[in-house]
Amino acid sequence: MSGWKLRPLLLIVCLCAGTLACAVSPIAPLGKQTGIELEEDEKRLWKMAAEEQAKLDRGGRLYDDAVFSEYLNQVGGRLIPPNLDVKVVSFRFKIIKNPFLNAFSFPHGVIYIHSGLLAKMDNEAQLATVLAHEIAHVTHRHTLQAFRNIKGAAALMTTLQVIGAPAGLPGAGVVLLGAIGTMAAVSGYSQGAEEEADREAFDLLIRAGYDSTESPKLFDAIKKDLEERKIQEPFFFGTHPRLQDRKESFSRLLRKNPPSEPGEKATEPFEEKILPLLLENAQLDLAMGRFAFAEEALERYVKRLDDRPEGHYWLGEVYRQRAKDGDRESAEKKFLTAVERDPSYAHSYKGLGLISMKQGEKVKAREQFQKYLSLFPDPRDRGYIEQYLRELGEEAKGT
Amino acid sequence: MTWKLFRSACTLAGLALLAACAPYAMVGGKYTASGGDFEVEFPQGWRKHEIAFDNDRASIMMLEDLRKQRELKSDIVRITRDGLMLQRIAIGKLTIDTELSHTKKRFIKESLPQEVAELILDDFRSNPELQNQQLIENSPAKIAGYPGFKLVYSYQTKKGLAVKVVYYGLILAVPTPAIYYLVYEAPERHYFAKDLPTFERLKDTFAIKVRSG
Repeated sequence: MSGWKLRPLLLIVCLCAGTLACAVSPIAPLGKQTGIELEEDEKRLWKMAAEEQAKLDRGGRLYDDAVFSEYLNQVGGRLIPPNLDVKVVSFRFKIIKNPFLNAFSFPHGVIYIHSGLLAKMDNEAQLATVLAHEIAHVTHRHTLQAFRNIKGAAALMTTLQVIGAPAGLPGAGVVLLGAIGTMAAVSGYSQGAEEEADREAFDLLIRAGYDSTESPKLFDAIKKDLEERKIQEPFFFGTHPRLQDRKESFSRLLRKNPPSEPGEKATEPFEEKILPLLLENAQLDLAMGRFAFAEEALERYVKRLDDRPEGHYWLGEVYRQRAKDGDRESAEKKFLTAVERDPSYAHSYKGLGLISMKQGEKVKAREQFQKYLSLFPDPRDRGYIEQYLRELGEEAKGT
Repeated sequence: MTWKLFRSACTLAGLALLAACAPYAMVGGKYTASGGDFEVEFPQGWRKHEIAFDNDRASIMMLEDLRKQRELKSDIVRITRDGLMLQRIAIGKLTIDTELSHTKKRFIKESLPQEVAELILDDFRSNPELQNQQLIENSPAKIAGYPGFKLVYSYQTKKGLAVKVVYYGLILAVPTPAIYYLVYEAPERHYFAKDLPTFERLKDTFAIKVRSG
């Protein structure tokens, strides 16, 4: 079900959830009392969530860099509340290859973070902020809360024939879970739940020894970046009012509880581990035509790994594909730098070949394409390159 | 007698009106695009989809997706034999300034066929509704005598249906820069292989009527 189709439903759901919020009895957070048992509807919710999560995992969009995944799970693990019964919920942290800014959690403890959001972070403390916020949604059972509110709302809507549920109750349940998931991902939970997640996250950060002053900085930087670039994002962590809320919420918490001693930013380990992801996410941004984001991430990559060719090559691709005034020259320069850094890096020659061919420099283009194929004998675009070589050869004969 | 004749005439007129307003119309033989830009030979037994008269929920959903792909903005004809969800061939023309659905990148008139193919692929890769996207082939191809490209790719819908696509395209800079394309799309299992030869034959009959110069 598309987000668009869900919008009217979500609107009604949010309104009803808001009005019914008081009618639902409060739900104790996991870990605050011992021997907590999942209730029947919560078990069903977790089962549905696990099915949805498995589908997501099979969707081919997981970022599977073992080093960063391990690191992410270490950071997440450090934030888990110490009094939490691990038999009840076992946390796992995963990355989705998606350039949009987002993170979300399933009620049974699986937390996803988009590569786009990771690429915007400066250090581990900022990563910990987002993870802690999502952990808090899980420990405070916010999905169950929303589910119960929506169930009440759904009953009301069924009576009003707003929702016809031809698929029957299980179908309706899946629709509801989808609605909750979309709501959580797009607009977040209720304001109360989001603020509760911020408060809990703040405590978890301090308990884990992180620098809590980094939290509002992250949201402020993203907000400013999106505003400057006039970029509109569809998800929770990329929308202006929600970023403003998070920034204000964390700033308030900081004013109330100023850190007595400086916490850990952990910039270096984060920067070291994030580099391959920066490169991959920049390619996603480039595919989407978000040139400025791709350029920014690649500049950051090159700053750290200037001696490697790939960052320069992809910067060259950003300029070649953007094709604005002066971009051809910048692209050529970047491809040449990539060749300089590693003369055996094949892709640079293809980039140069395409530029030379368009400039009518046939001999040069032929040499560059030949070099590309000699270094990379079986590229996916071999057919095109061979065609260019034939055409360039024929044109050379003709001239 | 006159009344009977009148009633029959009314019934026939009603049926004709219904047929005219049906979402599908039988096709076969030569087809010339409404703008006269291209011609193609349609296979027998296939039906042309009429967007304006489609009330079918499944088709509407499909069309919403198509609308997302901005196909409706272009000069396009869409045919199927068993229904759009089971197989469809879309043939159309995009103007150079067409905005794609999922990428902000634009075509430029100096684009090489390979660059147009990459842009189509970028739009496909950036579509968050699709899962397990796989590029199977990206190669140069001749279409209507012009150098173009052939893409073969597959994806899974959110409901888990595996779909395979063949996309032929070319870019012409004159008289007005435009991209012409022929797309065949069908569920990978059972349907895709069945109608692929029909699509390839259709592709070979495709001719562009607006000649350069």
